[in-house]
Amino acid sequence: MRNLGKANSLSKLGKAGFLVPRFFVCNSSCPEKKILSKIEAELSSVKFFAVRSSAANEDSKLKSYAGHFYSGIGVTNEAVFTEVKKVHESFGQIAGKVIIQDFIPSESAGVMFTEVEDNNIVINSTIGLCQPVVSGLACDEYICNKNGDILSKTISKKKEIRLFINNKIIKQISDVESLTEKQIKQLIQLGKRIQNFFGSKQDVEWCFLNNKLYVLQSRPITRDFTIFKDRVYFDSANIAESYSGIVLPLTQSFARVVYAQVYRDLLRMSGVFVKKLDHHPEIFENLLGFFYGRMYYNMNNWYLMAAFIPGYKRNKENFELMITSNIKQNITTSIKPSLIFSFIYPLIVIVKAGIYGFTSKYFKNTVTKELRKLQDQNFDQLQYLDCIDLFEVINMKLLRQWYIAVENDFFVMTYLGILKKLINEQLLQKVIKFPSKSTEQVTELSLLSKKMYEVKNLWNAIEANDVKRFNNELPHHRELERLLNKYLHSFGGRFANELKLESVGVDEDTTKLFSVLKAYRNYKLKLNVLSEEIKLPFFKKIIVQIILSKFKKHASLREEFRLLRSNTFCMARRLFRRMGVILTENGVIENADDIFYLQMEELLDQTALKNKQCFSSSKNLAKIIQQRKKDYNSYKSITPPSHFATTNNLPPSVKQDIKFEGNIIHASPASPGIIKGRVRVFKEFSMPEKIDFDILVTSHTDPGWTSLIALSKGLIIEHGGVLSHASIVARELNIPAVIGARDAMVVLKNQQMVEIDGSTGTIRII
Amino acid sequence: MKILKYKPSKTPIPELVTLVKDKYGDKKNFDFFFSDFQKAYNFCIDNPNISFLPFSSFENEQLVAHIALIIDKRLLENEAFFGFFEMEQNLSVLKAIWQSLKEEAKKMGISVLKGPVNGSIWHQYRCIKETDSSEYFKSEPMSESYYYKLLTQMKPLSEVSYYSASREKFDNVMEVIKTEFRKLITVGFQIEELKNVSYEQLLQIAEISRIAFRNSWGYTDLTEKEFLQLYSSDKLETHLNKLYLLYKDQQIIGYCGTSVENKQTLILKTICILPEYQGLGLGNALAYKIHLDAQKEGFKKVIYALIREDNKVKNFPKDDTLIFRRYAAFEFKI
Repeated sequence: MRNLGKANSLSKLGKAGFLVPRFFVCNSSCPEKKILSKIEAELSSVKFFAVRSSAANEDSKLKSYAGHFYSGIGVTNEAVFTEVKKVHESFGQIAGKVIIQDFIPSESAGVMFTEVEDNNIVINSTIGLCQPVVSGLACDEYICNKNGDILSKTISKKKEIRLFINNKIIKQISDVESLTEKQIKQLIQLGKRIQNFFGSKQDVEWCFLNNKLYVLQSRPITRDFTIFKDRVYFDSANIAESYSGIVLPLTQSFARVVYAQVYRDLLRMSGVFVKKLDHHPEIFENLLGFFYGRMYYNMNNWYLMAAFIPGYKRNKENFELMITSNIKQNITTSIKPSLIFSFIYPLIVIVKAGIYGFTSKYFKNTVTKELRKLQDQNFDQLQYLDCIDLFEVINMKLLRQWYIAVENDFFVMTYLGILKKLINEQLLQKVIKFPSKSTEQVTELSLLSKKMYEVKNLWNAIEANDVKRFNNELPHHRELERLLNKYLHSFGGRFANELKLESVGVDEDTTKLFSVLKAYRNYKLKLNVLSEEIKLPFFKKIIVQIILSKFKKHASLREEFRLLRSNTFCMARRLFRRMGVILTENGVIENADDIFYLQMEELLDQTALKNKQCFSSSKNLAKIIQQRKKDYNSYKSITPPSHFATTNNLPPSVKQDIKFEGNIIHASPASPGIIKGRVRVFKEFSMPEKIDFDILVTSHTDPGWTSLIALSKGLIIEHGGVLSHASIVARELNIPAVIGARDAMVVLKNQQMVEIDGSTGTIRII
Repeated sequence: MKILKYKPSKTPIPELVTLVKDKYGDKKNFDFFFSDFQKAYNFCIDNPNISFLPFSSFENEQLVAHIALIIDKRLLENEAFFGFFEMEQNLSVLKAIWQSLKEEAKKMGISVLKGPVNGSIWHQYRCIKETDSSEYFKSEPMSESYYYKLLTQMKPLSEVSYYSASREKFDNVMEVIKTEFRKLITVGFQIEELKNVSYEQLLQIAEISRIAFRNSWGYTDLTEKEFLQLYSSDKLETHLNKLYLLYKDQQIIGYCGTSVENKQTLILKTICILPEYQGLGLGNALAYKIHLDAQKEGFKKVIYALIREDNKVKNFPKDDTLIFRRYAAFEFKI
C-alpha cells in the first residue's frame, strides 16, 4: 500500500534509522476486525495507541494541514476503531488514511523548526505529552543557533501540561523548565540530521521517554516566518523622570488616556485625516506599556505614529530626542502620508510656526483661567456623579488642549537638533542655559524661610512639625500668609512625583512644606554667571545666536507648560481623592487612598457607587483593590531593565546583580564644572533633616526635586538627557552635573568621595 | 570600508603585523613589545578555553582597523575581552567595526566587554590615556593615545585607571619606610633575594598570585601549562633582575620582581602580598629592600610600572614621584 503524507515521511525516517514509534497504516474505511488483526500482527505488545491522520499531500512541501485533522492518543485496544472513525470523519472531502501507532507516554515533548531565519532553530516544548504544544497552549520556547548555543529562552510559568498516569491522561499546571541543556543539544543534532535527510526545512514533532528521543512526525515548513518580527521595544527613557518607580493603576490608566488623546489630537491638528487615525486606534491606546508596575514607552507605536506625517526619519529622530530613548530601531509599517498631504504639510508647518506665538498665548490663558476656576471650586461638596461630570470638564477644557504643548516640544527638539549639528557638545552645555522657573522657586523659598524664622512662634511650630500651631499662628502675620499663598499658587503643584496621582503634595501635607523651609534656612543663591561668549566665525555665530534664541524661547515655554501640567494634575488628583472619600463613605472601598489601585474606567463608571452589593469579583472594587495591592507589593523587590524587547507582551527578565569594577564611571555631560565631594544616594525624594552631602545621586528627577537639587553641590543622575529637568535646573543654578550614569545608585555608596566633571561626563571614585 | 570577520591562522595576519610595525616600530623596546604581542596571540589561538574571533576593516586594501573578540570560558558567562585593537584615528571606522564586534558578542550571549586586553590580563592590556611622551619601558603596553578618546566615544560603562611613575630621589622615601623594614625582621618575616628561580618556587609564586589577584579586574585563572609558558625559569632569568621572596615560617607569603631597563633605571614590577598579611607594612618593607639594593647597585631611577590607581597599596609614599603615563581599561555593557 502506498503511504500518504505523514505516513510516507515516517516510514522513510524509520528506514533511515531514526527512532520512530512503530506504526502501520490502514484505510479509513477499514473494518474493525481487520484493524484488530493488524494490531495483533504488527503491534502485538502495545497496550496504548496513538491514532493519527495521514491525508494525501497533508504535509507536503506545498501544503500543511497541521492541526486540521483529529488525532487520538492513549487509546486502548477496544477504542481504536472508534478513534479511526473520528479521524476519518475529520477528513471530510479530502482523501486520507489513518496511522495506528505505538503511543509514547513521554516525559517531555514538543515541536522543533529545524531552520528559521538566519539559521536559527526554534524549539517549543512542554512537560509530558506533546498535545498542548500542538494546540498552541503556553509552552517553553528556545531559540538556538546550529552550534547549539541558546540565543533566547522563554520558560512559561503556567504550562497546562498533559501527563499519562494510571492509563489516563490528566491535566496539570507546571512551571518547571521542560528541557535540559543536554536534551536541547540532542534535539539540535536531530534537527540537523532530519533536515539533511529530507533536504528541506522541517517541522518535527518529537518526545523524550527514558532518555530516548523519538520522532513522532516530520513535515516540511510550509510557510516562512520570522521569529523576531513581532518584537516590541519598550523604553522607560524620560517617562521614568515623571513617573519614576512603581506607578499605581489609576495614574497608569490616566496617563494612558491622556497620551492617547494628546498625540491623536496632535496628528489631527497637523492635518492627518480623522478617518485614517480611526483606523489605528491601537497605536494611540498603546503608546505606553506597563510591566511590574513601571511605565515604559512602547517604541513601536511611537515609530508608527511618526509615519503618519511626512518626513518619517526626521519625525522619528525628533521623537527619540524628545523622549531621550535608549532604543533606536527601525520597524516596518504600511502607514504612509498621502501624496497631497506630503505636498501641503510644509505649508501647514509654516503657518503653525508663524502663529505659534498666538496659539501658545491662547493655550496659556485658557489653561490658567480654567485652573483658577478649579482652584476656587469646593471639591468637598461634590457628589459622585458631579465628580464624573467635572472630570469631563477637566478633560475637555484642559487635557485636550495639551497637543499645543507637544507642538512646542517639537520646536524645542528641532532647534536643539540644529544646534547639535552646528556646535560641539561642550560649547552646547555652556550656552543652553535658560530660565526654568527654578531660580524663582528657590528664591521664593529662601525668602519665605528667612521671614518665617524671624517670627519665633511660627518657626517653633515648624521645628516641632506642629501643623495645628502653625495654622493658628499664621493668620496673625498677614504679609507672611500672603507670601506663602503666593508660593503655593505658583509652586503648590510642584513636588517630587507630582505627576503620580497617588503622591501627596505640599498643599496637602504641611509637614512636607516644613522640611523644605527648614532646609532653606541658610540657603544662599549662587550668583548666576552669564552665558559665555560664543567664539565662532562671524556668519556661523549669527546663525547659532538666532537658533539659540529661538531654542531658549521655546525651551523656557516648555518649562512653563510643565508647571501648568503639574497644576492640572493636581486638580485631577483632588477630584479623584474626593471620589475616594465618597466611595469610602458608602462602604464600597475601605480607604479613600485605595482608589489609586483602581483603573480610571472603573472609577468613572456611573455604577461604581452601587458596587458594594456586587459579588462578582470583576465588579467588586474592594476585591480588585485587594488583589492589586498584593501584586504591586510584590513588584517592590523587582528592578526591571530600563529598556528591552519582548514578544507577546511578556514581561522582561529581571536585572541580575551589578558587578562594578573600576574607578571611573562614564556618563554624559549635563552641566559644566568640576566638583569633589561626598555623595548621598536618594532612592526617592525626601528632604533630609541635615544636608550632610555634597553630591546628589538618584535615578531620575522631576521638577519637584528642584528644592533638593538647589541644596546640592553636584548631581549624578542615572537616566535622562540634556533636556531632563535635572540638567536644566543644574545649568541654571550653576551646579556641575552628569547624567546617564548607568547603575550609579548601586555602585555609589552614601558618604563615598567622588569627583564629577560636568563637561566631560565622568565620575571619578576617590 | 569592508569589515571582515576572519578565521585566524597560527600567526597574526601580515597586514596587522605591518600596521603594528608602522605604528610602533621606531619606538624604544619595540622588539620586547612585539614578542609579547605574538605570545599573546599564540595564547589565544592554541587554547581550548578560548574562542578567538578577530575582525578587520579594510579601505583601499589597507587595514584601517583591527579588533578581536576573545571569549575565555574562565570569565563570567556573559563576559568577554576585546583586544588586538589597532586602528587609524577615525571615529566612523571604529563605529563600524565596533558594531560588528558587538553584534557577534551579543549572538554569543555576551553582555559585558572588557578591554583592550590581548588575551588575558597576564598579557598586554590597557590603552594609554595620557603621556608625557617619554620612551616606553620594557614590557609596557604600546598604544596610540587617541585610542582612549575613541573608545570613550563608544560609551563605556566604567573605566579602570592605571599609571606608571618614576622616582629619582630615594632618600626621603627610604627614611619613611625604614621602620617597616626593621619591624619586619623582628617579627619573624624574612626576605630572600634570588637570581634563579626553581620550578617549585615558581609554582608557589603562581599560587600566591592566584590568591592575591583573583579578585582583580579581568582576572582569569591560568592553567599550570599556561603559567609556565608565560613565566618559565629561563624566561624569568632573561627578563628579571632579581626576585624577592617574602617568607614567614618557611612559607612564601609574598614576592616582588625587578627588571633592569638600563644601567641607570630599575623597573619595579608586581608587588604581591597574600591578603591575610596585607596592611602590616610588608609591602613597604619589601620596597625598602629593593630601593636599598638599587642604591647600592648604582641605579639612579626607579620606575613603578603599571600600577592600578585605586589599588590596595595605601601607605607607600608618593612624594617625589613623577607620573609619566596613565592607562585605562574599559568595561562596556552592550
